[in-house]
Parts: sequence; C-alpha cells; structure tokens
Amino acid sequence: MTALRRIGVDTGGTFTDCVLIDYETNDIVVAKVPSRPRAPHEAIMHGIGELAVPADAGDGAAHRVESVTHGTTIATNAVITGDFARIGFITTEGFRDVLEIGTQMRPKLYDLHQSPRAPMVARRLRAEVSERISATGEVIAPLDRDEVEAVARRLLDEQVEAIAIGCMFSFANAEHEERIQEIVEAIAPGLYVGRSSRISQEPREYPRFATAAVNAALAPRIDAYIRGLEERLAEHAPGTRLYVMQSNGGIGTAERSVGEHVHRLILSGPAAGVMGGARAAAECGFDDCITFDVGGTSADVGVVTGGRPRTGIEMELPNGVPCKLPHIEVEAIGAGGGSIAWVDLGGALNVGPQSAGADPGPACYGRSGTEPTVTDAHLLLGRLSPRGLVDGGLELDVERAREALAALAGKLGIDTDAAALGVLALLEQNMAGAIRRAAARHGDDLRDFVLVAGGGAGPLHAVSVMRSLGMAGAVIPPHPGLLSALGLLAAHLRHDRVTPLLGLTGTLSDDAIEDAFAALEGEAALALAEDGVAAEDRRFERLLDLRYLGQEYTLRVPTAAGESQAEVVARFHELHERTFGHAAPKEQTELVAARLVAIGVRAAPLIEQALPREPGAPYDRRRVTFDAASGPVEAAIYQRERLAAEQRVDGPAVIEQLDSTTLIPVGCHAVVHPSGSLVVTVSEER
Amino acid sequence: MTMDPVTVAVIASSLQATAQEMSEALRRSSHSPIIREMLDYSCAVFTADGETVAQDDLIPAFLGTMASTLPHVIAAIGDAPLRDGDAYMTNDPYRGGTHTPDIQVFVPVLHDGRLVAWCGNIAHHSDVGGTNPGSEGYANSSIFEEGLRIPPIRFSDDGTLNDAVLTLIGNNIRDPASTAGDLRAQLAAAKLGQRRLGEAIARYGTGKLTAAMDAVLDQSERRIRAAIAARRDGVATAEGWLDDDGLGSDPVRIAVAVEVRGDRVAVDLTGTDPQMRGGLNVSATAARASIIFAVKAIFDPDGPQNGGAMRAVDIVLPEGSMVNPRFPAAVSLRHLGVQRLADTLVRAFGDLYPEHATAGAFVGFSSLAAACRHPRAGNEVVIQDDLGGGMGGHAGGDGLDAVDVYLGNVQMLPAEICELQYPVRIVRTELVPDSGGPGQFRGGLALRRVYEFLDEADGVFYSEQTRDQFAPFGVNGGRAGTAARLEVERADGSREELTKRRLTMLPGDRLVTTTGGGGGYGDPARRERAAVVRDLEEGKVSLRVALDVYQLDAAAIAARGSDGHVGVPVGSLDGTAFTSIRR
Repeated sequence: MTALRRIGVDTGGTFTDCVLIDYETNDIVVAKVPSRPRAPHEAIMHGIGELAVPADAGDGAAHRVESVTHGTTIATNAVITGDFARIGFITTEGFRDVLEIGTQMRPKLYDLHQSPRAPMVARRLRAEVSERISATGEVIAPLDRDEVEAVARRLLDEQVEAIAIGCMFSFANAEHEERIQEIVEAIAPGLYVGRSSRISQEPREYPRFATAAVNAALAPRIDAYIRGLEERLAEHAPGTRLYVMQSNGGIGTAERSVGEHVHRLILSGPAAGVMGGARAAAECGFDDCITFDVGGTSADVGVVTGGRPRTGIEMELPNGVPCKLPHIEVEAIGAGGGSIAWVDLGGALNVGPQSAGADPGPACYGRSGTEPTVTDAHLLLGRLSPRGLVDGGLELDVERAREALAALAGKLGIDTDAAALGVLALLEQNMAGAIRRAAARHGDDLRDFVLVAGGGAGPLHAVSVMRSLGMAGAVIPPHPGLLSALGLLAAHLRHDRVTPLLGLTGTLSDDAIEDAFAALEGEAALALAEDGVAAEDRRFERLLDLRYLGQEYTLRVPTAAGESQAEVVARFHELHERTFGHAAPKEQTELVAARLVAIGVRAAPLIEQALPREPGAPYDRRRVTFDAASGPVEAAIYQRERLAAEQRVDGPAVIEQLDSTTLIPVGCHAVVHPSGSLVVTVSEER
Repeated sequence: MTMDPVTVAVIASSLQATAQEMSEALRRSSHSPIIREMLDYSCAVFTADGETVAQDDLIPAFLGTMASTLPHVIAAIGDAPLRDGDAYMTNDPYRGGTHTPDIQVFVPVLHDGRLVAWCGNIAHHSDVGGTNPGSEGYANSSIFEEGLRIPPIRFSDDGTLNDAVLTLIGNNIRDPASTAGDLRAQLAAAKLGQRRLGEAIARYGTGKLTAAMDAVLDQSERRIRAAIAARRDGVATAEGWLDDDGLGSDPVRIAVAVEVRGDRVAVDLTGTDPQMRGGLNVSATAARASIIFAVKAIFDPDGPQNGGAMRAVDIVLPEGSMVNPRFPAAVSLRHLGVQRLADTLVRAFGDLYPEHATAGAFVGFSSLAAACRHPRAGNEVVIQDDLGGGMGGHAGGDGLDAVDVYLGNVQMLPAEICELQYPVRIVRTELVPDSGGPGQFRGGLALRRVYEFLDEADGVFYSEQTRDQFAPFGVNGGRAGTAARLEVERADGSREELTKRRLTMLPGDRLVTTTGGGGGYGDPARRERAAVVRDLEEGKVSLRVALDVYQLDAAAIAARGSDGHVGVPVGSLDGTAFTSIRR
C-alpha cells in the first residue's frame, strides 16, 4: 500500500468541514469553508483545495489520497424541504390511494384547522394495473402487458422524471413488479424506474410503497449530484475513490449511492456524527456511549452499545411519510445554541424549539436578532469568552445579550442573571429528557454510559447533562466541531441484505435457512468484491427475524452458520425477555426473514495526537457562573491545544478552542486522554 | 411556598420527560399489538390529590381519564397505610373508568411514609372477558356482558405481585397470557416513574417538588383562561345524533349547551337522551375526556398536557342520561358516543365563533371484529379493523382526507398484514370521489375498503353515521359530507346493507365498507377555481359536481384543457368523466 491518506468531507447547512488524515505521518489537516447549497460541489472542491493537498507531481502515488468519504445533507434537505422530482407510481388495482391515505393517523392531534399535506405523488400520477399476488406468492390476477404499456405512456405524457413501482405482496413474489419494470424501461430508456421489491422486502404496503416513492423522487437529483462529484474528483485527483456515508453508519461506493440506493443517504450527516462519537469514545476505552451533537438549532442523540450504534429499519420523514431503510436511530430535539427562550400565556418559561439560527442569530451577534437565546445566556454568564468566538472571528456583544435577557427576566419577575441561568437549566433538562427517552426505548441504563459531546455547542452542556443523568462521564473529543467529518473516516463499507422466510419455526428445515444465508452471503461477497474489498477484509453477520405467532413486529436475533433453529429460538426467548421484560417459551414462534450485515473492513489506525509535553497553564481567569448554587466564581481559562496528555483540569474551569468551549463546573474534573479527548468525571457529589 | 419560575419550568420539563419515559417503557414491554402498535394507552404523573401534572401525548381518548379514576382509588384506600411496593388497579367505568378493556394501574410516590405524588397508566387490553371477543359490543345490554369489572384493588403488596388476583383475572378472559404480560408492563412502567420521582425528591426535596407541581397546574390554568378570555363571551347550543342505541331504536340525541363567560367555559349536556339499552352509553369520565378535547382544540391546541386546563371548565352531565348512565348500563362502545359528542361540541363552538368554525367530521368509526382461523397455523384469531373518514373544512383550508378523527388516532390494518395473519384478502383501499362536503373549503374524503373472506369468520360488523340526515355537517354555507355505508356481497351474488350486525361470513363473501366524508366550509361557488380544477384532475370531485355544485365554467375547463393543464386520469379511475375534457 502506498501512503495512506484519506479525506473526510461533511457538508452541513452552514459549513463544509474537510479533514485530511495522513496515517503515516499522523498529520491531521482541517479546513472549514462555507457551504454553497446551490453549488455544493464547489464548496467541497474548495475545501479539499484548502487542505493544501500537494498535487501529484508525477512522482507516482506518493501524495495520492486514497479516498474521499463524504457525508451529505442533500437527501436530508430534499426530504425536509419537499424538493422531490415529479414521479409516477404504478401499483396494483385498488391500491393507488395507499400513498395518500397512509395509516389514517393524523399529523396533529388537537389542531382542527390543519390542512392536508401534499402526498409524495399526486393522485393523477398514481396509476393502477390489474394484477394481484397472494400472501403466499401465487398469482391471483395476471398482469396485462398492453395495460402496463398504456399506463406507462400516459405517465410519460405527464412528463414524469422517474417512475416507482409498488405492487401488493411483491416481497413474496416479485415477478409482476419485474415485468412492469421491463415494460416501462423498454418504452422509456434512460428514465429512472425503481421497484419496491428491490428497495424493501418487508410486508406492510404503505411503508414499502412510500419508500419506493421516496427513492424514485430523490434519484434524479441525487444521481446527478453524486455523479457530478465523482467527475470533479476524477479531474482534480485521479485515482481517488469516492465513498458516501449511508444512514446505517456504513459507507458505500459512489456506485452504491445512486439509483435504488439514494434514499439510504437521508441520514448520512447525523450517522456520521454518531460514528464519530462512537470512535472518540472507543479510543478512550468506552464501548457504551450516548452521542450528543449540538448545533445552532437542534441536538441529535444517538445510543451506542458495545461499540455499535443502535439501528432501526423504519423511520418517519419530516412530511410524515414512513421510509424503510437500515439507519442509526437518532433522537433529535429543538435545543441548540440559537434556541429562543420565551414565556407563554400562563407565565411558564420555555426554550425552543424556535431558533434564531445563524441569521439573524442570537442577540449578541449584533445583527437584527433581539430574542434571548441560549448563546446569549452563556455569554452573559461569562461561559463564552467576551473576546468572541473563533478566536475573535465572530465578535459577541454582551450588552445586547443582557438587553434580550433582561426583557425575559422582566416577564418572569426575576433578575437577569437568574433568567440566563434558568434558560440554560431548562434547556439542559430538555436535553436530558431526550436522552432518557432514547435510552428507555431499548431499556438501556444510563449509569453505564459516557456522554460524547459533538458540535460547537455540545461541550458547553455535556458535563452538566452527564452529571444530572448520573452517567459515568463525558468525553470531549479533540475536535468537537469535526465529529462528523472524523466519523466519516472511522466507518467501514456496509451492505444490509434481507430475504423473507415466512414459516413457523420447525417447519422450515435448518438446511433451507442455511441456503438462504448462503445465497445472501454469495450476493454480498460479490458486491464487496465489486466495491474493491479483498476477501480477507469481508465480515458477515447473520440475523434471523423472529416473533411469537400472532405478533406483527419481530426481533432481530443474531445467529451463526451451523446453528440449529432450536438454539436460535432459545436466544429469541432470552432476547424478548431482555428487550421487552417478558417471554413466553411455550408459545409457537415464527420465522419472518433472514438478514445479513456484510462489512468491508477499512482499517483506520489510531491517530496519535501530538500533545504538548508540558501541562498547559491557564492563560486567563474570569468570573463565570456555572450554576445558581455556586454563583459567579473565579474560573481558570485554558487553551485546549496547550493541554498535555494525562493533565488534570479541575473545575471551575473553561477550556477554549477554535471551534468549541468546554465547561468544567465546580465539582468535576477533566483528564486529557492520550487520544486527545478530555474525559470528564464528577470529583465529588454535592 | 411560592416558587421561582425557573425551578417550576425545570421540574415541569423533568416530569414531562418522566411521563414520556414511562410511555416508551410501557410500549416496549407490552405484549399486545393494541398497545405496541396502535398506541392505545397513556402514562402520567399526578399530584397526591390525583390531579394530572404531566401526561404523554399519544391518543386524546385518555385526556383526564386517569385523574377521574385516581380519586376513587384514593377513596378506596381510605386510612390504610401506603407502602412503597404497593400498586393498585381498576377498570370500573362506574368508579371513574372509561370502559372495561381499559385497565388502569397506579403506584404511590412516598417520602418518609408521606404521600408526595402518584404515577400511573391506562392501557386497552385485547380482551377482559364477556359476551364478545374483545369485550366490546353495541348490543350488550348491561355491564355484566362486558367482562370483568375490577374495583380499585391492591394487586402488589409491598413489592410482591398478588398471584391470586392475576390467576382470577386470567381464568375469566380469552387471552390471559397477553393480559398478564401487559399488566406486568404497566406495573414496570409505573415503577419506573416512581423511581424517577424519587430522584426528583432527592434533588429538590418534597416541599419544592410539590410546590412546583402546584405551580405548573396554576400556570396551565392561567394559560387556558387567558386563551378563553381572548374570545367573545356568548352561548350556543347544538345537537348531535347517534343512528340508534345499538339494538335498532330510533336515533339518540346528544344535546349540548356551551357558554363562554370571561375566562371560563361551561358545558351542559342537559337534554341529552336517557341511557340506552345497548352498549353505546358513555361513562361520565369518557364524556369529560370528549369535552376536554373540544375545549383544548378550540382554545389552546398546543397547551401543556396536564389537568390545569380542566380547572377552567364547568361540566354538567345529567345523571341517568347516555353521557352519565346509571349502573349497570353497558358502556363498552363508548367511543362512538364520545366522538359524536366531540363533533357536537365543535358544532356549538362553531356557532359561537363562525370565523373559527370547523365543519363536521366523520365520527362513525366503521369497524369489524371477527373470530376466524389463522391461515397458516389454524388457531383461532380475532381480526379487528377500524376505519376513519373525512375531517371538516375550515376557514384555513380543506379537511383532512381519510383519518381517524377527534379523540381517536388508530392505525388501519395494513392489507398485507391482514392477508398474512387472517383469512381475509383486502381487494381495495381507496378514497371516495365526491364524498367530501362541497364548500369554499372542501370536507375530507371518505375511505372505501373491500374485504374478501377466504375462510369462515364470525363477528360484529358495524358503523355509526349511516343515515344521511346525520352525515358530517357543513358550516357557513358549506354542504354536508356523505354518510357511511356497509354492504355485504355474498358469494352467491346476493347483497344486503347493514348498520350494526353480528354475521358469519363464508369463503367468497365480501364486505364493502364506505366511511363518511367531512363537511364543507363556506359557499362552494366561492372555492378557488384552481382548487376545483385540481380536485377534478385528481379525481376527488366528479365533473358533474364541479359543474353543478362548484359552478365551474365548462368553457374555462375546455380552455385550460387545450393547453394541457387538465389531464386525463391515469389508471383505472371510476366515476369521473374528464377524458372528454381533453381530446
């Protein structure tokens, strides 16, 4: 192998973060450039250029960058803003309205004045064809080629940019969907045509149809985006591979990020944040962590156990549409640096979910914002440097912060400092609540977890939130603002595959199950080979979806080659007990699907941080208020880059760095881990 | 103790998180799909007196219901000492309950032996015994047909689950494993809340915690009062009707009088018909939930989920009427009356505030519940499906199409799950053109679902709102939506229409359920022309209705058609004739 150098590029709403790691020299180079929503490629190439990668001087591959791994919000933004392609949908007679009716549940419970949301596909663009497959996969009504052609031509007349196909029970027998696809592709060469049986093999027509529709509605734009990026990269750095972060926390080649895969990019950005947090915690020796990525508007919470993020299959998009894709579970709440504090009609204090965002931004930014925000509260209490953020690159106006908070304090009948403390206490309580909900979903005990802070604002709250939840500690990575970009470089290639296996346990032979997994492994091995993964770097994990007869939802039970069904069923009962608190070992169980997780391991050696030898001394002292009980205290102010390995910093202290500020309150202390992270724990219970 | 507003807000947030955390825990550990997938349950934290301080937000049917029950539990306990491991349960509609399948569990939060708060939950169990599978029945003539009626009893003593109680219950119900599992899940969730409240006591002390809970309720009360005071004073009345009493009687009347004065609302149901012979009576608690829903929806839809808002509402429920029946009236299908009551309240408030009016919604809750054989395993299973319809149009826009409305919010059975788990094939699930009441803002469309039975199935098939005169009402010049219709098509070609019937379906028989469309708001002639054309293109309104009711100019359509804006519907669309619009 030549010199191993990799680049991670994380495109966010405001900034595009670029990181270059040279695994031989241990160098990390960082560039932060403004995102350009209208020309994202330009921002990316600009950022890569800023990394000052020496051009290939013709002396072979000495300076070559092996790969660029990209975390993108293009699919995320498309689903948030509803920027979808105009698509047609072809389905079984009698079911074209499934996409519009959904579950029949309503978006808001108490609002009598809500109006219908636009469906993914307008009704006139949803076409039915006479055909029907039964639950067991038999053809009940045949497909009529002429009818399909006629329907396809009518959709093309409507100038659709792509077509999705979703037929009843296509997971049991995909024959009709396949034939429809062939017929449509023959009529419309070059048009993107997706079918539900390629995209999700699971029962429940609404989520499956919706996923196929979301996929087709994203494909035209995202294909162009990924292909375009590939081309730009090929011009600038020939031979460098492009990988894209997927919602499941794995990366995929460009080839696996287009077409039928595009919807898997919806959580690309947040997944990278969770992977980055998991990696930072693992480097400090913690396998169980909560990742806590706080930006200007929201906080994203991920749960990692045994080094693995908790994943799910079904998610809901902002327009309420369900989407089936393997994804890292992320609990998001409207709590960030720009969150606005307000008082309701009854006199109750609230923080968020409205945010002043980056524009106008908090009152202290001195633009047009006048509402009191979280950042204003931090500034007023001395937690943020009065010299401003980003080494003075962003000036902060304490007086404007004070004015905004004084108005809030007036409404509450308390003094201004108390209001500022109150805003932060409530915000942190809301954050703690979100973490408790995320943990409760799987019965995780927070006392066993550390909290990993990410985003510019995470380290301002992590220690306080960690302490209030009784967690084991907090980890502040070396570059909290680059958690996602670094997470990109810590991920492996991953393919999730599934095949349905409907039958009571015991009625299918163990051989039949082995055959199903062997077929999945064959496909996955081929896919990994195409991705360029050598045989020795391929890992396969088998899972069986089981449930009690009569249940609708299943549990994913890990299994291994050569195991009998009896062993798997016994494990299912155990897992049911652990996950749901009860089991019924005498009840009949049913097999629903075989799943395979195929990993292409991408070795990412630990980067030794070049930490100073001598402990860094505080460069300043100032009055900082951490909590109401202690009041304003004289706190030592450190520069993060001056801290030496194993150096201990006792609270009250503030540790500043370019992209973040870490608060160490009274009664807590931080120790610098050799990996460069701060590990913060409670010194004494008060 | 007067409290600073910051501590109040922080404690309120923590209690709300506790309610949600209990909710996640109950969902995760429950046994039956009705809890885990249909989310027919609720968790809450209460003051020592039983007022709701924080509640999760899953289904409005449980608004305030536990707060109606908890005082009965407290009264039943009397002076007996409370201990940390104690837990209580009840499902009695005559002691604050809703209907028998909803079992409530409460645990006290104690500090130094003194009661500080309660944690509890309510969950719909799949069966609690009685005449019909699932325990519900429109034809039930008394509460004794509706399964076990459990008074407030202690089922966990000092941390030990009372097996005698669980065994007794299990012996009287159809699916004991499921109910035992769900009860354990309910207890575990309540105890999680108890633990969290214990942590809050350790952090804040009981004085501060209880003072904060009181302050939270006071704030919520002030908030709703301010919202009410912002509206005009006035009185209005309205009436709503059930098709019958479940046994084929004449229509049954719900009479509503609302009065807004200053910062209070009074709701008086005097004049409502006497209690019925069948199972559609509404327990007082369920009637209150409906009233709280309507007040919240009209005055402060985003208000906090606690009992403070109830303090601004005065309620009169005449005893012996169908909204507050005397023992032992049957109440299991209270949901039908509850939804009709909510709709009638929306109508009355719409008269009071025409500028905020919402037209009527489909409240018929077309349902089936039938025992049949599992297609693969052959064991007995009960299929259940409930269908929603259109919501009413309003000054801000059209009503939602095909939703479960008001206090309900349940998912329909996915057609693929149906055919995999039951011997029933769903052959259509579709919106019904022209079902939404015409108006400047159209009512939401009804749903049609066609079920084909592949094996014998015995059960109940029913719907309310099947009479045209009780179809979802229009307001401010808008027209009514359509009524519901249930039809059975036998394999031999014979057909019959029904409203509420117990039937045996045979292989090849079909049930065609068509729910109702929402009412319209405002004169249909004033509907934006572009919206009428869009409805026409989308096949939601027929050409006949577009021309006759919306008074669309045919020439205008033809003109638009020629430049390609009005398209030909693709696929098999019935009922509309706009192929002829564009040549």
